[in-house]
Amino acid sequence: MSGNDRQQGFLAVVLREMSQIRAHSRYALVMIVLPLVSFALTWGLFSNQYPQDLPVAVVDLDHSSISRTIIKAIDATSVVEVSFQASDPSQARDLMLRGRIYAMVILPHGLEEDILSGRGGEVIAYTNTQVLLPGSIISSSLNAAIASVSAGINFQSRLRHGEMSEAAIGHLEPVNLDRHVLFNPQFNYMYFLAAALCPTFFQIFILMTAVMAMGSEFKNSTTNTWLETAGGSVWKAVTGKLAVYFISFSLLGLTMLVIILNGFGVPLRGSLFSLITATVLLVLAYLSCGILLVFLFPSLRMALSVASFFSGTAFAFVGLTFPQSGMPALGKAWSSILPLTHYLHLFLEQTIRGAEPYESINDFLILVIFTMVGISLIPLLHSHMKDSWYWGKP
Amino acid sequence: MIRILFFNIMAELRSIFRDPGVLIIMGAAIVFYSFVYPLPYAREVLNQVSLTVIDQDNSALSRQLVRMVDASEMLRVEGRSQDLGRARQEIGSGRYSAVLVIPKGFEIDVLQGHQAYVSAYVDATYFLIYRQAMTGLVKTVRTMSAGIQIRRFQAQGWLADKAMVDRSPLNLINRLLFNPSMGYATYIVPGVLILILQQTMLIGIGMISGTRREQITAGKNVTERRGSPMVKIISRTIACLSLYFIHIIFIYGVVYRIWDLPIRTGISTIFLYLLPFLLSVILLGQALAEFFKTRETAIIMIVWSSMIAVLISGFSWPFESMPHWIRAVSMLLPSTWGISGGLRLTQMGASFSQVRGEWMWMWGLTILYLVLAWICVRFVHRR
Repeated sequence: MSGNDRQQGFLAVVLREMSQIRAHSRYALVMIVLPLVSFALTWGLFSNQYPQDLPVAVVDLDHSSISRTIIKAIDATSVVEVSFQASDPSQARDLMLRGRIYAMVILPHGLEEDILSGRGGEVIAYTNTQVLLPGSIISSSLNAAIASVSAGINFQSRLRHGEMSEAAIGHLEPVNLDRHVLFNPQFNYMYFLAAALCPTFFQIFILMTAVMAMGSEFKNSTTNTWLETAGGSVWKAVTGKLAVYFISFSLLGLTMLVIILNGFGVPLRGSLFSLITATVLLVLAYLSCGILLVFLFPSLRMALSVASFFSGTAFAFVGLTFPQSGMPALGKAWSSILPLTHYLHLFLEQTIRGAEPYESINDFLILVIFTMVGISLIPLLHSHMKDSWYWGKP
Repeated sequence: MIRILFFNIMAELRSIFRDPGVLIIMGAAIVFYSFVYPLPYAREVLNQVSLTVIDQDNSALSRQLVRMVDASEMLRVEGRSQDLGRARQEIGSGRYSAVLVIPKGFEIDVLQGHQAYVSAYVDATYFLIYRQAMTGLVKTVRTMSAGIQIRRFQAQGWLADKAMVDRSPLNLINRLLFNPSMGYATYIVPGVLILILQQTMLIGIGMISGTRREQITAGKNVTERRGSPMVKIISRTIACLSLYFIHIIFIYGVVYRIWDLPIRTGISTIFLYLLPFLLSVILLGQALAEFFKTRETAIIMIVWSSMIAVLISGFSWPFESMPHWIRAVSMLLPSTWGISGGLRLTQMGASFSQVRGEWMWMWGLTILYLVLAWICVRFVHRR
């Protein structure tokens, strides 16, 4: 036996790992710099909270007081801004194909006359829905603006015809829908997208760091010294190494929660304790995924490529922008084997939905299961560490 | 000169094809991602959002409304609830996405000519679910309301046309262009495919350089490229460009067909448009590659930057709502221009002159990154 007890064991592995981190600047980059840059960028990007002043063009062929009222009503919405007054539809179409506007609104010749004579007028809009977000919110904004102008005209004309005002309103719409928006009534993208993007960045860094830290031991053929430092115990070797990252990423996770709750202003309607627990479990789950990938792929490059696929595409599959229920079976299956899916589900329940902690129990359990899988693989890593076949792969 | 160039190009192609890691990224990954990334969106639209109903009126008219809601393709009535508190809880736990409340006296109000109200409470945790549910409910209620009103007017002896006009004197006809069904795959996939080209290229070049450096440090025998830094840069650019021309054919010829995406321009226009895109990406890759000490760092940086590039390229969040500093960063990424002009060309049928601004900008980036790559290869590498 070489060396004494103080130089071997759990603590020795921790110290060895910390000197590795100090020796290679890439660890600081992945564990601190890039995550914080990502959070800051997300914060900046969605700081408007809702899209505003999206440019549209108006083609006013009527030049009447009603057409001017309509243009004013459209411009008055917060979402849409009338940036161009085109002289004819083909000019507006050219602007759209040049990417300058998202929609064009055509006020046809004779619009005012049609309305006043009781024939009814039509406003024609062409909205570009190739890019969905501006397309869909401009559509609903234009609808609302035109409907309010229409209601104004209708109401006035009935008053002129001498109907009593209550009856006039009654005439407007026999059945009405009272709309209530639950949980995020302002449609704040900060609560919806930005809050979910931070954990998405977070999981990329946990998984990549875990794979890099363990995989480079195999790549550099240093697994024997790693194991010796741990006094020959694979448990101490793996847990000692990962303990450093567990603590560092847990602290980063708490920072992330502070940024999301205090910085972004996401309301905390559930339990903070659940959120913190889940964040710590998320770190464990992704460290476990790291163990699995290093176990399956002896080549560090291969393990990292798979890790980058697993974490880099996760956001498409978590069901936030496009819900799980609309995915084909394979998509649903892949979605459910991502720890992030369950974390984000829990996250939304415990923040804006204000669920009780017990309602998120399934998500907790799934994160625990991911962790258990990782732990159960630790003893199996022992033979890999001893077997030179696994060493020095590119 | 030509011989040196030719020698270098062959050496580059050899290092791509002989390194399984690089070949996976610059070949297999493109095929793989092209089929995996669109997967969640394969059905294009979300339908049959589940909702529950509280029918306190229990009349013929209220039952008719429930049937109409259920018949809408966007919605599916999955349950009945007794009271609102309970229904809201069930929405909170994710069992339903919405509740429709039909109050007592609904039918009588309508029959007596009063204004009747029904209420919808819709979950806005997930925006797409909200949009589908609310749109479905609004449309259904409007359909019912219009039917009642037109019958009323007809009962007074008015013509249906006149009745329609009286109902609403000003109407909006909104035509949705280029993606009229608001399909999610049609929206996301064309942009992501361009991004995949950029990111695999950046990783691939990073890995080639990283591996070369590791092998030199390890004292292994590497085919040394000849000539000045500029000749080395140009030869690598030509090698990568020729490989990615094949990928363009694959993406626009095969992937688009398989996912049934519309394509509204010819392949030669796409080549012409994407030429400065690929050049600027290759040169950016060569500049960045000098900073990656190992291939691991290259992979991590590129995964991270993929997310960033998607977020700031203007197709997940509009440019008009971005802070200026983020907009400035996005203008330096080839993907921003490749996507914005590329989508207009292939999805919206814009003519080449309508994307010339983006095209010129990408040539500007090409020159910028050529200079940057030359500086990096010449100085950083020496150090």
